[in-house]
Amino acid sequence: MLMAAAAFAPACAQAPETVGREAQIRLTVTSEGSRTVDVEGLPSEDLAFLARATLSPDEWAAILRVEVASDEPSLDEDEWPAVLGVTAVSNGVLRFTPRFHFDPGQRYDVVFDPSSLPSAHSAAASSPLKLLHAVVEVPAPVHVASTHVVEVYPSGPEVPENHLRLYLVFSGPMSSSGGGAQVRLIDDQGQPVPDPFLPLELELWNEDRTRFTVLYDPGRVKRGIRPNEEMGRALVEGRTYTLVVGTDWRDAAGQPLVSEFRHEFRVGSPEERAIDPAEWTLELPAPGTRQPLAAVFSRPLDYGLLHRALRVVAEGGPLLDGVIRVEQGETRWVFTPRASWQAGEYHLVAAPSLEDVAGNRIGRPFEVASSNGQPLHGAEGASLPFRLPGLAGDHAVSEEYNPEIR
Amino acid sequence: MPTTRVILLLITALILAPAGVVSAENSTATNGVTPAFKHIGKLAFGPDGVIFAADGQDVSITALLLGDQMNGGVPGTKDVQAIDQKIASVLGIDVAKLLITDMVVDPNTRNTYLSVMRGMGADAMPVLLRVDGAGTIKVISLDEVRYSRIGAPNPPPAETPLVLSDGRSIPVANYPDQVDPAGLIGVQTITHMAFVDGELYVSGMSNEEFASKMRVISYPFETADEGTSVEIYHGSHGQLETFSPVFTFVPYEIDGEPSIVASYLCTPLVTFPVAALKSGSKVQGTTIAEFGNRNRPIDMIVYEKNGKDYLLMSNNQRGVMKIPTEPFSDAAAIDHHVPDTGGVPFETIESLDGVRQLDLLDSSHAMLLVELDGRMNLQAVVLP
Repeated sequence: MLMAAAAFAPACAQAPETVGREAQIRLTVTSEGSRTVDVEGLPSEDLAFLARATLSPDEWAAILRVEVASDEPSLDEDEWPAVLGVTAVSNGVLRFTPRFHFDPGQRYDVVFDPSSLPSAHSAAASSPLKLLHAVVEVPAPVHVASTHVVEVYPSGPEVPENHLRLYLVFSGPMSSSGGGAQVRLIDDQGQPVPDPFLPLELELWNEDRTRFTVLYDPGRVKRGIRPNEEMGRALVEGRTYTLVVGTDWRDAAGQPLVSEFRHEFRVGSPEERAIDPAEWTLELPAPGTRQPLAAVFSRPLDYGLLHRALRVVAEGGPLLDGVIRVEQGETRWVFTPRASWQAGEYHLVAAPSLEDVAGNRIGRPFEVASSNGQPLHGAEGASLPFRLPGLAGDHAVSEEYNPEIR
Repeated sequence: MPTTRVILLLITALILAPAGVVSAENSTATNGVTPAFKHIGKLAFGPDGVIFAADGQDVSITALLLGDQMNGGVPGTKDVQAIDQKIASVLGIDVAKLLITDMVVDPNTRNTYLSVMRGMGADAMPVLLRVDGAGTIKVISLDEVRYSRIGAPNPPPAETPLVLSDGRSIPVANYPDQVDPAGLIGVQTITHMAFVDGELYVSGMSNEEFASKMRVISYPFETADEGTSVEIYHGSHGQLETFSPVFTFVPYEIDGEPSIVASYLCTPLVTFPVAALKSGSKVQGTTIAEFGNRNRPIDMIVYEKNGKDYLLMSNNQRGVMKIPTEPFSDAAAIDHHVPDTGGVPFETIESLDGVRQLDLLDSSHAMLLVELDGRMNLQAVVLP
């Protein structure tokens, strides 16, 4: 078997010498930078014949066939289909241009069968072309494992027993190779918790594939339905668990993770109440500064939603532009405005989509008592008004902030 | 820095504003030729010559006006063993780098269309393929194909008007783009699409919210605002009600009333009338059946046999179920605990194992994508 060297030089600008030269299969880089499989050194009568030929894809493949190299035998009488592409005479070579770029690191079997070409039947040919077989491969770029799990959310030491959703944040983009099976839960006896998470064929990522959403099996989380009654919740109040993310989860470059990730947490009592913003506390900035505004919650809220479901609005004005940070186990939301705070009235506004880690929303718990077919009470938004007093000297200002009740 | 507990004053919100009030981003359809996809997921057939394809990364739905490209193959679909390996061969990759995201049958030619992702990493490419009656695998070229695309059908509108107690309204951005440097905006994944009578029904699942959203979009696409986005609740066994994402559904008439029969993540079969899918409404579905533990529905089709209608549903754990629809019209809502499975009767088709995709091939056959010994086979079976 001939191993064709991967050639990186651009294809020759002029026709290669054909006389007295053996035909050979080469992997070539075209001047446009794409890779092709070329048969070089063909007699000019064959090239002329092929240049004129109008052949079907199958007929072209009978002459020059590129296949994914596989150790797997075909299941049925069919052979594996040839790689899709276009074969044509170009710059004095017979060139196969794949429809999709050759996959780096993938080996391809190439067979050139000249038996139907004129020179095979020409009495003048001193040495008829032989059937050629080559294996070509575009070298895979050298990658080393470099991606790891940066953080898990909820990041705090304790979650409620009815915890619904967690996020894994990676240091770089991940692949779509189905890594969810790498997420495991180990109990405080070192035993794996059976089937804690929802098996999903589709994966829930953020746009740049650096944040992965894991859902606990909602059938076990929700009270009163069969999976819950048969298996119970995956998490049991009072116990400690370790979330483990294995390394065999491929990043966007196809590499495994650098290291296993472990996160230990306790399980507290289930949280079955709606979010109540009246329990929140605000830490107000001083006007004239860019000090952060902080909201402190009475329970951890959903990390993802905290980045888009809480905003600051100036009275009668637009949304404030600024940077959001989520801290202290998602119990503290910190907003630093781009422009200095002005004295005046503001609202911290929560969208109805805000949830805690158990799926409870403002005004609507995750599970509510049956409404017997009546329209359900939906989640609500909330607005927490606050006032930043005028600068000292403007007019009389109290040292203490007192929320104005309207 | 003063710290204070703020008295909550105003907590009234309109969750979904009526169409016209809300200015949703990406709400207007774009038309053009040679569509580009970042990702290709769920498929559905539309009017003649149109196939809808969902882009799960861009969160858009594209109507591909394939026209004559839908013809030219041998009618029907021939069984193809190791279809995944053969597609991978055509695309020039190892089968481990191929992800089949959906399979649908063209109701006119009975050819089968598959959406796949070629590659797993940053360079993954979406590809649409067709398998015809001769078993020929053809890559559908999107070059010069006319398309109409509508964006972001599932995310909430860009702003939610928050109505204060004194009647004033504050617009609240649901997807703020200025203060989100980390790109943490929630992404919605389209779980199923179906086209009936000029309307495309779309269900989705969010990476940040557990609520169930269904959207109805008129085709030809004009604006997303013309559709509706509703939250669907369903009773779960008596005392509690909850929400859950819809995974797959079929439009179906129950007692002459156009309805949706939907499968949810953990309480599988729920019906609700199409008429209830009004903008801003909350739809209470009726749970008519439950199908067991740790089970997720994959696909559903409706078919007729010997004068009776049946639902055929494939599941990831509990095989393929045949469900007569006759009892749907007077099925009592499940409002009590059932020991195993409950509600309308069904039959598990034992001979159908490992079914990953399911669609109606013709009046007497279903087309299946079956996983067997680590390989995927495209296979037609007689409807049970």
